[in-house]
Amino acid sequence: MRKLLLVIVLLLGVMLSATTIEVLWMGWPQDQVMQLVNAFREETGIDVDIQLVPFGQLFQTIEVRLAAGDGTPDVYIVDGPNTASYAARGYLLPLNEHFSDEEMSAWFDASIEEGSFLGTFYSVPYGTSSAGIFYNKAIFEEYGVPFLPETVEERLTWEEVAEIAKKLTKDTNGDGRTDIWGLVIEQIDRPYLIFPMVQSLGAKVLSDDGLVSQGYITSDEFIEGTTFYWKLFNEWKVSPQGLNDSAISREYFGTGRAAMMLGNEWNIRRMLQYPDIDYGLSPFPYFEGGVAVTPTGSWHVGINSKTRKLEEALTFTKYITGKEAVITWHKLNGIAPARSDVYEALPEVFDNPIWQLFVKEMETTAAPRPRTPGYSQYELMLREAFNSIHYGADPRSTLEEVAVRIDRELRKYR
Amino acid sequence: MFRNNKVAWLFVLPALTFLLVFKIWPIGVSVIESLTMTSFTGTKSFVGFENYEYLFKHDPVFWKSFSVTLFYSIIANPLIVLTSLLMALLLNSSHFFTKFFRTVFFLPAAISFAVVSVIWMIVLDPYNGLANSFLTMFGFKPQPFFASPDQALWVLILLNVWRSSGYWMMYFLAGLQNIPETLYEAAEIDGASTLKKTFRITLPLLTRTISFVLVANTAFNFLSFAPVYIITKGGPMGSTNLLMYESYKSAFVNLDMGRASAITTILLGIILVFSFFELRFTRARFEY
Repeated sequence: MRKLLLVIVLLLGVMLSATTIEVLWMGWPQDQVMQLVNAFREETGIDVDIQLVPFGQLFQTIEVRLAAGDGTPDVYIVDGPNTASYAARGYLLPLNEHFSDEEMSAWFDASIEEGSFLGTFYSVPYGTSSAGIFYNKAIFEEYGVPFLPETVEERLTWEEVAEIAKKLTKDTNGDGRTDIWGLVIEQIDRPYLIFPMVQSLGAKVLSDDGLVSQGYITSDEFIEGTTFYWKLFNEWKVSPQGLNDSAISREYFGTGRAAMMLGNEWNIRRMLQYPDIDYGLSPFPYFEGGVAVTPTGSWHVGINSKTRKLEEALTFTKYITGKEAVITWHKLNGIAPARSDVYEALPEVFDNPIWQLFVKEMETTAAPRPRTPGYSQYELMLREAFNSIHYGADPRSTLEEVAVRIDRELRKYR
Repeated sequence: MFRNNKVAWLFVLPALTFLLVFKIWPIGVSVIESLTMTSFTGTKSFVGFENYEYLFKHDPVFWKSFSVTLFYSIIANPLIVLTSLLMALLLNSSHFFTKFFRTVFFLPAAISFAVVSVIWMIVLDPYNGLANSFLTMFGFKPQPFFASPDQALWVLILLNVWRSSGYWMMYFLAGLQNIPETLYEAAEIDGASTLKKTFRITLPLLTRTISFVLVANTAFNFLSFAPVYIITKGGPMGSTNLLMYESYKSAFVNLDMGRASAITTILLGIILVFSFFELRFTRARFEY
């Protein structure tokens, strides 16, 4: 009897001493995420209650959870451009005193900049990104179109891409429905992929203080780039409307229903699920007479400023963004690491010419998304505008109308 | 009626408590919230009717959403009541087949609206959907469905009819079972036809059920959210942007709680007005 009591007391003690931290995380496949979480638990003895939220609901979930202000989740995933928004509202713990210069030197400068707001470091880089034109070699061969150039020196213009897309949009069985599309855009209405188009023409997408959109998203250059985007769907009809889920776009490309896809670096890994496809990568196009601009930025990790488990939260954040975990994560999920030491550690992966092209873009042409505390509102409204435009709405009037609404929302951050 | 008020209150108390805590109180909070503005740091300030003024005077998105919601409800509401009533009348017998079909028609209501939405989204995919494969097989032109600003709202209405009719049919069936068989027997002796029995006995005696279904369904339709959130996200071009979804976006994406609460308060007002008139027009003028 006494032994039993002792065992119970011991068990209770163990249970109470093992802390659990709450982590709100992007809804990546659970079996992948759990490998990292389990390794962390074994190494540190800290339990992690990790909550995986699908991308479509992630930002709203973060808003609701943080507005509750109860100190949970202790750690949460942050989309890079949202750093300013969370930091301005005091949701993120300032991290300067918790990270040494040596630790900081591991990350790309652009990523540190994306994780900072008004000179303070708030969110730890977890990944970065780049994009380009993936093309299906079999389709190009079948219709006698030469393969696309694969070096930044021979970068195609958007005009050339449109011509190729027209040639490769095919109704193969004559039923009046397009069976092969010239070009799909992986994330059809996200500013992430559309900004580089307008930036190539010299457009600025937001004022320097991040609080005014009128005159920027309504500039002639911005409208010219957006009109090109409009033509893809409505005039030339080389891109299908309504692919509102990026997984469906990937499936179009992966199963040979699209000749080209404007998409992200993670497709190097994700296309493995379509073993039949033989593809190449051409750099992100530019407009004739314009400059080359590519998108970048990705996930960061932040600590809740109200956490009651700072020590454990820090341990987890440093672990998950550390070299070993990022290597494991890259092997599992394929997202571009934000640490240069990971690129050096995995030559067998990154010496691949496709990766080399992406790394080169990240070093030379990458432009981060604008920094504004109202990023999520700005992005959502602009995204709805792009969505309308791809369905056929007039670019100029749509952008002029949305600019007024965006500026009303941004006014509260002055 | 209640001689002893204390006992009466005691019986009502549990229900009343839940009603107060989960219905009346949140409504109150939301109405008060609609009179405030939240700064980005989270501090609230009282601004009177400014949110309403903005909505009514300067917010084209609200007006568009308002008319979309009104159109949606005005079409969907009678359509659902009619289909469910018709289904109930046809299936009000104890034949084996009618029992079977009752179950079949009720099935859509037993699936969560989220699942229903995802299934129909796949079926109605403009390029690879089953629906278009059938259409082209029989020589029709493929349709864009949710990808067209002209069709999306109609498809949403039909989806709602498909999913809700079976549910309200059950209420009508229950109402039909309550009508005393003797009335029909008496009518038969007088030589009344089936049509006459339906219009002279069944429908008048079903008024209370119709009234309930109409009002409950009105609220249900005005508060539609899941299919918009899952399938269309308010698009294409705002054609399916129902007020509930606009309010949700305002609250959780644009962090504009005042505007969101003002929208839900207006929605509450609309539902009250509609319900009031519906109750007036369908009041049973007799006892049985």
